[in-house]
Amino acid sequence: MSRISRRKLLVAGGSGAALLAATGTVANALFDDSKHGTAPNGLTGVAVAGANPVHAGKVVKVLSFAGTDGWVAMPEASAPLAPWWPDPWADANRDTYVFGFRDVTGLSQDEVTGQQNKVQISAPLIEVSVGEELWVTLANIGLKLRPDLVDSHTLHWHGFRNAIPFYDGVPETSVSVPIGRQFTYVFRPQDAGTYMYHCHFEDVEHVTMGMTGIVFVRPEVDTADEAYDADRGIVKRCYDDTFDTDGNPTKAGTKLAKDDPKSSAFDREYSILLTEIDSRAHFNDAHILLTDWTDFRSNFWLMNGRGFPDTLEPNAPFDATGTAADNANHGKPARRDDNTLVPATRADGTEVERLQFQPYSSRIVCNGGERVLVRLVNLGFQQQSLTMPGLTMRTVGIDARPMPLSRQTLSDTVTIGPGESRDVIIEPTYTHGQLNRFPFYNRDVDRYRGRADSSNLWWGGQRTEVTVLDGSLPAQKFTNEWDPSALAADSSNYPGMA
Amino acid sequence: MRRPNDESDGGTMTTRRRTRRATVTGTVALASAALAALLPVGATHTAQAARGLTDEGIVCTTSSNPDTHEANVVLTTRTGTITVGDGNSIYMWGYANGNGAFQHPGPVLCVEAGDRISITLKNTLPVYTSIQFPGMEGVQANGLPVGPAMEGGALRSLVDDVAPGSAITYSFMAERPGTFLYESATDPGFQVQMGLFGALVVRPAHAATDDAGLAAAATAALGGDATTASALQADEPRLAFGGHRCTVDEVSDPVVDFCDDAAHTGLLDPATIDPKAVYSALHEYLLVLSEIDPNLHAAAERDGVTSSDGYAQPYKAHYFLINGRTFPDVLAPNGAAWLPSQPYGALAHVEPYQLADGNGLRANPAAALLRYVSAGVTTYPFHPHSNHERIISADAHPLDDATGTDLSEERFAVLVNPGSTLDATFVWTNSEDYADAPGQRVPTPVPGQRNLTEGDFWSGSPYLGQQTQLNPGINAANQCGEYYHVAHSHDLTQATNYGATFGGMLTLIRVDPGTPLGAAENGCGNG
Repeated sequence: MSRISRRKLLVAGGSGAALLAATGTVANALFDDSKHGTAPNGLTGVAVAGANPVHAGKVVKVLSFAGTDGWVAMPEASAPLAPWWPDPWADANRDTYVFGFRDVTGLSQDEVTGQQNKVQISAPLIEVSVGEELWVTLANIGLKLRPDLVDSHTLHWHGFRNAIPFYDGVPETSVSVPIGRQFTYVFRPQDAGTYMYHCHFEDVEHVTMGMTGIVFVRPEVDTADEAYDADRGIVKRCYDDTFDTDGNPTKAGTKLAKDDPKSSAFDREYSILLTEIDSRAHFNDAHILLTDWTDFRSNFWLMNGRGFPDTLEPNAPFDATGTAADNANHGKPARRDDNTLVPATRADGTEVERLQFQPYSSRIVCNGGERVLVRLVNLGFQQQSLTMPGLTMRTVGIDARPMPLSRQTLSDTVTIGPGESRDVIIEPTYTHGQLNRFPFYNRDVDRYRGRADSSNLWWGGQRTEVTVLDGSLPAQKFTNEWDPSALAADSSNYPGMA
Repeated sequence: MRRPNDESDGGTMTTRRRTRRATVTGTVALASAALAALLPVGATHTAQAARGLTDEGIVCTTSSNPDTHEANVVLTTRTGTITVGDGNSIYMWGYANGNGAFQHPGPVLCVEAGDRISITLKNTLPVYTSIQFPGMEGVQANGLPVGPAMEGGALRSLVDDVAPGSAITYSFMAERPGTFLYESATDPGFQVQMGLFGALVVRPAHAATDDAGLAAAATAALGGDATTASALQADEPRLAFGGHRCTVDEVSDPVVDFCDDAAHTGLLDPATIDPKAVYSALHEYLLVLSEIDPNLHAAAERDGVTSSDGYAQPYKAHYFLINGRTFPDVLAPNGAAWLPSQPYGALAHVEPYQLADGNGLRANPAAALLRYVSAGVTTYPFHPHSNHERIISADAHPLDDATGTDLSEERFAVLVNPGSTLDATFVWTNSEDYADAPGQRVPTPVPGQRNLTEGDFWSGSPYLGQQTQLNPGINAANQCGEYYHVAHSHDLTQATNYGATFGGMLTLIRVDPGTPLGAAENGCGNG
């Protein structure tokens, strides 16, 4: 839609909005609401970062996101794809231009606009429980590298039921957020399960450029549920686990015991977002060139925004300071003093600087005998088959719908199409004297290899692993969290890996 | 978007809706009279009748003779062009209805289960061609079972084919209700790509006299009340599959059931109605998904290429279509004059789902039915916004296991595999009940319009049924504050016209405000 206008802009030297973004003065334009004269909550976060506000009797989970651009890193030993990858304009340590979102909850306006060109992929993981309200304010702070590109952004909540266009984020049927403006989306979740969100503005471009993330809904907080985790204030089940006498899910049914072989209760949970990168398109967006999207050809296949072997690197450290009530960033990737992110940090304290804006590991780490939930979401353009030889995955949900008991399937491979989600549970055991590491990878040779060169056949694709420890892994504090030091201490770990 | 139906096609195009409407207002008035008293205000029915809904939904080119249960169709291969969303013109091959003009895709054939279909294919192309009917058994060609056609020891067609300038007649019994694809079985990599395909819809044998009984039975299954039943009847309830009609023999058979009453002979036995198969005939849609490699078509047009042997370039699709159109043309009405060879639109149109009457609004208890057909070569991950769809049958087989356990599934991504069909039901519920009234307003401040980018289909208001003027420069397409949601391939490269976003395999689901009972039309009609 804005293709022509972009070109016109380049010719004309940029419009007011573009100049605004280019000169970094967008902050003053935010919050101005000519119709109501009131500023929505959210972006400054200060007013709402304390105890979450209550609206209509429901706890409101308040988040503020910024949409902008940035640079990320593909696996460093990948074979070059000249002239597109690595991108010669990239920041140090990085090689691929992206668009994306950052969680800026609690930051001031100036701090928010300071995050231009500091975007992350995958987008921030969002979790909410049934019975809560989710308010996400999106601020469009413009693209630093492309001030000519005056694209708006939206958040589309993929799979949310009975949506109204106002909060659905499709620009053509609703509204989108221009540069220097913000908009608050509201969601009242009714159904537990794994969903996804992404920008729908010029969808093919903004999605593949990185504006994609996972949002999942937990069952309603119920302190009487044996799967209730008092430390985290959540029920550790993927679904309600209530079924009628025929085994069909129904909210009024009988709840399965936590240890029932078919319950969706878990000890640990991991979420993995599948995406693809056509480096030509990313290069084109950085270098003011056009892409024929119907000629899309991926060359990197990612899990949580990283290609193998970066998928195995630890998470960026989670911010454990305080509680959600007094720290707006609690439980999220920790921030540096400049409000950018602390990079993934290994057990020895090494910060993997390259991965500063790719905070989420895809490594699934657990103790033997634990039950592990893996939420899979595909926001690429291809159907993928992921296999986990040596372990069995029990599918408990598809597209945020719990499976009837008779139809939970066991498999070592799951197939997932674009826009689909799967919830699978694994229960690995730890065997002394064995390696206790199980690959989890894309069946397709290109898609697990990515840009591998002849010296390494596993570089840059969708591959990670399940690492099973002997009981030394501490309890999981946050979704996707695992302790690198526990992994380093395990004698079965082979060298060369994080 | 809704325009008066263009009937300038000389009447060869009949529609099920028009036919049914005529029936309801005519010979079957007696049957409706029994339940008419239940309608609080009779205006709803009249309003629907006045709409002439032929511009949306399934347009059946051919239907069967209700007395003989036979359908006789003539399809003639033709060449022609279609228009795609970026203005390009694509040379195609297609099936014309009888001796009519080229169209794409082929005519939608509608019959009832148990009908015998006879399709005569006249070949005007310079090459052999044929039609196969995946999912149909016992297909005959010129009265003999079909088999492969060979030439010089090599396979020429998967089924009996027809030489240029000749004709062949295929016939078969349409036993199972559901949605089917028909397509060329000769050089399919070329001929199907060129456009030789279409859809066949088989509905359960169903007399108009069933409406009341079906409504009552379905209401019982859905758990509604008398208002629900009358509303369901007004929505012209149909079954996608199933439903047994009582026969005279059953009046005295040993089994004690609904059919024991002689007065029920010919009516549907409620016990045989599967609630998930109930849909409204006013909200029945077809989505034939396909794709086009424009270079192959250009070679056929410019260079006279007539077979895959004559075209060596790698296949690469750049256009992705629904019912032979790309977005935004899919929104144009059926038979739009400005799309002379692409007669089928793909706009889905519903009202908020309500099982029972509420807030002065009409109950709206029937789901919409979407019939997906893939004539393509890759899986299309079709994503309806705003709610899950329930997939109730695949390749015209109901999703039930042998013991009758319901295997239907709600999905937010409907994966339509190459050559397959899926039937799915859709409802949208106004579950948040947002309205411009105290206590019902959206909880966040609505930014001023100059602080938002507005879309062409946006009403200007978060609330269903409300409209405001949009920013200058917006082609305001919203009529009465209705909601629009997109439904599209989530391989987003396919939701483009040769790479330009918001095109291709994408359509809209339109949600109208509920119509107050008996009130004048509010500009949206009564979906």
